[in-house]
Amino acid sequence: MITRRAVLGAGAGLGVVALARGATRPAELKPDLVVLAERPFNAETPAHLLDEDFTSARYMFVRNNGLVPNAIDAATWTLEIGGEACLEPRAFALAELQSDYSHHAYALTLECGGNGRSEFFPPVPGNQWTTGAVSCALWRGVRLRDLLNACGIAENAVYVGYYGRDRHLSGDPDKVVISRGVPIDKALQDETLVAFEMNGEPIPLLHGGPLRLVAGGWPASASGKWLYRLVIRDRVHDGAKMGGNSYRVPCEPVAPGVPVADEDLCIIESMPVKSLITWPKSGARHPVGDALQVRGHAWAGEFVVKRVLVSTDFGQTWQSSALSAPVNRLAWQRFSTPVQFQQPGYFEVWCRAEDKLGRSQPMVLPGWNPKGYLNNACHRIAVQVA
Amino acid sequence: MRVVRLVILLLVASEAWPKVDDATGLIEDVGWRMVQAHCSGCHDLKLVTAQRGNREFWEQTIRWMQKTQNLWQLGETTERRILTYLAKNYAPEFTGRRRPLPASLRPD
Ligand code: HEC
Repeated sequence: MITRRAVLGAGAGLGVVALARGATRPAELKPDLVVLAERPFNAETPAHLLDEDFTSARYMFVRNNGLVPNAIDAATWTLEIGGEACLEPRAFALAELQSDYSHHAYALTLECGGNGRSEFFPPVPGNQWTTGAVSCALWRGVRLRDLLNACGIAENAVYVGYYGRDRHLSGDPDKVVISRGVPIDKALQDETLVAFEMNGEPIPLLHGGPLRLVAGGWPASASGKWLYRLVIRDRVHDGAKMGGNSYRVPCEPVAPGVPVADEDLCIIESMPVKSLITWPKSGARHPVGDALQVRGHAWAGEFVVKRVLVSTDFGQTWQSSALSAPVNRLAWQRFSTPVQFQQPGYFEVWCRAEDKLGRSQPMVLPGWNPKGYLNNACHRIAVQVA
Repeated sequence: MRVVRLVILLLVASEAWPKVDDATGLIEDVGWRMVQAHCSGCHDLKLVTAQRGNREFWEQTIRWMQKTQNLWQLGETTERRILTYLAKNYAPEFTGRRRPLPASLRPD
């Protein structure tokens, strides 16, 4: 097993990735994001900066449960695979993963389970995300399935858990910050990657480089950063933040504010259908009479978005939009449509996506839950027409 | 008339707006130094000041950190003062079905 000293102490060699030359704080790498906390570093993206087809590193939100590793050395990085339901535990050097296994690339939507938390009432604990804890980047790596098969998956396998090199906020070097994962079925999907590239570059340290598990369409906390160990479990993985009210919601809906016992909480799997207007920027001015081209992205966790509707009259009437097919499963989809304003004044543009199963976004809040996950209420922007 | 309105505004402002410590972002009310001492070791105080909740909420948050995140025992008196401070100064603010878009997202 590679030791912490080996990882952190490999300071000067080639292949060492620090946050950035000269940058002392992660915030300096994300000048356009809204910083929710510096320690641990958490930052979200204003909606109009998510307008790109695929999210660049500069505009990608950051969710940390602990501290980013100081520096990592891709040249000596290894991934171990073990666990009760692993037939032949073994380790892979990062270079070996890159040379011996076939590469696959997918655009994968990663949304924080708590995106939208700030709107819940009564208030719930955690980062008060508004709308910007979502991204869709191009991830490249090897299939998790290929690595698991190389180690042998026992018949009683249930879950795959990850361990990463982030550091606990309390300074305790033995304390695991977060160790989540996915059920074996999700682990075996084509698109579930052990990734080493993001948008054609080595994954930036801030986003989990040199190696990250990427399980698109699920709460982004399932996509472990700074990945150095995977465990094939014969039970639901019980790592840090798998239990209690972390990333879990009431199995049966509860009234807002009602306490829920741990045993009545169920793990979040697919994220729900959602959409975001990325153009224009909220607060735009627009001349009366001219069509305004509105556009954005829509996604639906494990599912496909069937249509996106747009309203300029607070949801009284809706018009359809042009919606692209996803470039691959689990990628977000582009929608766009021209809208007309018949008179000057204050308008809001609302968007509402519907998935293939007919589920669409609520106008008010979806079910309250103790940690404020899964808020997929429709997105709204303001436009002054003059 | 205008002067009167300004004076009233200033009076209301000094009453309604609590004083916030520049360095920590904490509202300067009884107990804030204790919060600074006990709550800034691991993370930003932003995690505290951006949060709202009643006494029970704050107590549960502290228990959760003690159970799972290495937060130490605060001692009965200190804990009581910290909870009183948090429940008073960072209490839930009532929100309607959905709030109007914030000023930062509206046309100037
Ligand atoms: C020993 C370390 C430590 C100390 C000291 C500490 N906290 Fe925390 N706190 C944490 C950790 C770890 C988290 C989780 C951070 C994350 O996941 O982003 C956290 C999260 C929080 C949150 C967000 C809740 C959530 O569910 O994520 C609040 C609010 C909070 N702390 C308040 C406080 C208050 C108030 C104090 C002082 C009484 C305090 N903290 C002291 C470790 C600590």
